[in-house]
Amino acid sequence: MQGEKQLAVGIKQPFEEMKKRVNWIALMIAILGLAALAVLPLFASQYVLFLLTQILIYGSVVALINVAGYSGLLSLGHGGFFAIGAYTTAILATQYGQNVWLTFPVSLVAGALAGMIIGFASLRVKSLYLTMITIAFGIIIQKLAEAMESLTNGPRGLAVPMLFQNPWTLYLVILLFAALCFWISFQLPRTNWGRSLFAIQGDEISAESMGINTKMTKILVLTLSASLTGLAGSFFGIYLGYISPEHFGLDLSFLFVLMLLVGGIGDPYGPFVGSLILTPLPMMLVWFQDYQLLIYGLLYIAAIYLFPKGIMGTLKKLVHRRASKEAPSVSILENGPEWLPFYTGQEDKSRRAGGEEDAGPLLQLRGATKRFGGLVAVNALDLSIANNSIHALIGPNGSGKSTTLNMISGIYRLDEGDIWFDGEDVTGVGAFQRSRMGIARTFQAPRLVNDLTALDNVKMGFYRSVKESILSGLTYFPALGKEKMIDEYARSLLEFVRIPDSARVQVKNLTFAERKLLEIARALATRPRLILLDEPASGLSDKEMEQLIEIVKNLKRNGLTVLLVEHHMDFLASLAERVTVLDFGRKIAEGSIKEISEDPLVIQAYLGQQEELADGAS
Amino acid sequence: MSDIIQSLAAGLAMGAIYALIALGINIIFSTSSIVNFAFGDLAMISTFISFSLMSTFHVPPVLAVLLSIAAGMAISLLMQVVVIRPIGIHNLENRFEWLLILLGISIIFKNLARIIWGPRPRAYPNIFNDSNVTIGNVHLSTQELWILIVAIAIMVIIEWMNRSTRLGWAIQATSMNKEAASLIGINPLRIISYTFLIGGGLAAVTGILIGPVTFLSPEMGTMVGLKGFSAALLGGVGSPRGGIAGGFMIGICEALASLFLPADYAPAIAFGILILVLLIKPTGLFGRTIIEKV
Repeated sequence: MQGEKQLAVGIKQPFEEMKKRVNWIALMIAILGLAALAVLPLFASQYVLFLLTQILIYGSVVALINVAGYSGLLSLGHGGFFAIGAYTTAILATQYGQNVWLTFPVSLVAGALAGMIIGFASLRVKSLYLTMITIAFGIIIQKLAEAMESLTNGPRGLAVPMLFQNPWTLYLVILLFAALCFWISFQLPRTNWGRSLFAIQGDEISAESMGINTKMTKILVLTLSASLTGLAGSFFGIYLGYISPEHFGLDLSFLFVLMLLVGGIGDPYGPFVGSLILTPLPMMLVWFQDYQLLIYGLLYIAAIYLFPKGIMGTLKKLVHRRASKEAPSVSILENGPEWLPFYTGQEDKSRRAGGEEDAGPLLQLRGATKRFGGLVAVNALDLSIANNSIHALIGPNGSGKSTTLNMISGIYRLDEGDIWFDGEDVTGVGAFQRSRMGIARTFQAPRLVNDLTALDNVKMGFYRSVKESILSGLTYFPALGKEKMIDEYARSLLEFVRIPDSARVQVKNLTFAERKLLEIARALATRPRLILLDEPASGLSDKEMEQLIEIVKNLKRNGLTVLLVEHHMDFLASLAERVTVLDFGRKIAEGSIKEISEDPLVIQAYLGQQEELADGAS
Repeated sequence: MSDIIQSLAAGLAMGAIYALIALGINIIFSTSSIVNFAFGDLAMISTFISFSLMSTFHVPPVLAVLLSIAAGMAISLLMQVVVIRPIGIHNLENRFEWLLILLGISIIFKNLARIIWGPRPRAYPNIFNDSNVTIGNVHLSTQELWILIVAIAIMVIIEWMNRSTRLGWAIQATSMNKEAASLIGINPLRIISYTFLIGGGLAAVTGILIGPVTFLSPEMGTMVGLKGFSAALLGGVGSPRGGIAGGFMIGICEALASLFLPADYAPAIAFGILILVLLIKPTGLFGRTIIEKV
């Protein structure tokens, strides 16, 4: 086994080597670029220096909006966080005579608190409504700045003291801050935590099934984004020397989003490209003062019509079009590997061996009942799944099979009864925690992140199984080893489910069968002990089904327990060791496939009045 | 005490305005899943058109009002084309491009108005004679009374349309399921266009009703529109009756708050209520909860 694993690593060695070298070059370029940006204003006029400072501040905020957007939120309220930071510094420094440096941590905390409030709102309210809440939030902050005259001096505004005599020094500080914001938005998608954001954006239910605490993650990303936006606001106040509520109107938040839109949503360079183009625009349009906002409005619409993915997205597409000609054709391998990358370790085997001595079931449902209003979907179901077995759940449409899977994976709460996994009562345990305990699942209709590649989708599954802290992910070099491991594991898993060529293909370009297999790979990445497959064979051709049978057999060989929901009898006949039949939410039979196919109750459930038919035939 | 009743009456009139906007936003949303963010600005543009017709071209008030309603409908239909063209009518609820396009349209409207009519607020000619009606010891201006009468009449007409006309049924079928509606011979795009037309007319009526109360200015639409939108959210987007209730609630809360707090706080209060309600009941007060099927 060890030999095979090393072989797999050996094949990928050249790729990793290349990647590593490119990273060093990129680092050099980044340092040189930063140095060039730092000295650039020394050779330009004061005006250019001011302009560059503003471009960097706006670009940073847009980058932070972008980061919040990774989780699927389009914020039109970052002007509010920005204002909170600016006013925190201005009030503390001007009204209370505090040192400006000391106000920065306060701005960070104030921004974080505001972000947390919107974060909590994001738990209750989804997508569009959340965007509306952010708009309302921005308006409230601006109106409060106007109304709380004793603190903010109302519409007349507040002076903000200088931080340095030389504006270039301030520029350097802001450049470093902008570099940090850029780095976060650039590096986050390459970390475990960042991938979990994209998983949430794609589908919260499947994110939970990968062990991601979606609620906590959403609050955290908004807190992070808002707190840094607060600091950006502090810099903005110092840069202007004076702030008033007028600076933080709804138009500012719109402008930020316009920058993001023009630059390219989701792209790390996009925010700064957008800021570079749109920040100087008002100054260039100074002769058309009256038409300025009109042009902004037209740009909004033009951006969506002409560059739906922004300038960066359009550039990428051009590059991509050339590259995609060389992309390998997608095909299913004839013979895939029979091993799972990290199931070869001794630790799991010994754990399982212990379990087998107990001879207790891995999963047990006792009197599980689920009602939807008056409809009883599953009624007092008792179900035991033996360790390392392949168990199937069958029944006519509406018999409660999918509901049962949803109860086991924690998406539905039980109305009555309890669920035991590996000797522990998990009835009250949430979906993401069950995933962490070792229950993985696939969905009847694959729930993948369609805009990302197959490889990235599998990588999301490693959220918990390969531990990596946010900090080590962001500092990059310590994480390189982990990222490399995740990359190798993910590729091996794609090999395991026999779609290795799909690694670089976007999910939306995969066939239905490939998506189903990809979901199995992603579920395996969470390192489960029990895997729930919801109709894995539906929509598959005969040949694809043979592949799937081999894969499921390999799962068992690697020590996993499999629970299948399936209609296809030939498929079940060659796999299932034990079959449970449901009808109208009740268990009507259980046994080997042969036993249940002779059970009169089962025949009646499937074919209705069998006897009459038989009579008629004879 | 009479203070409270007096501001309740004023709040009722403003609430009727918000309710009308919520109604317009809801009817467009029900078929297209688009929340018309530029609704307030559309109301503003229509009001300015009726203003120009009356003061510059000396068109009789009734004709001017009818013409501006027609203009509101036409502009609304144009908006529908601009918004839906790049996206298509399917899966609109999961896209945000339309939101950004509408923001762009809102900015354009505001600045077109500024260029054409200037940034200064103007007084809107009072179509009804400027007098007060006294009921008990509560004074209502005729305008406020008219707002209530017209708003309630429109609400009744829309309710009747939804219940008893073929168009109303087609709108409901489209809002339930566009694909299924097209299978029974309904053209969803056409029904969406009808709702944009109705919405545009409502926007114009709302603007004309509110014109004499607030002054005419390019900015007048933004806040009123946002509050009308809040009313729709408060009642649950897609629920016409909820939107009406939400509108009256916001109007009354605002009026009562102005008794105890400086006027500067009023907008913060309206949106504060919105955030609070959404946090407690995300689907709005009258919205239905949808269980996602896995």
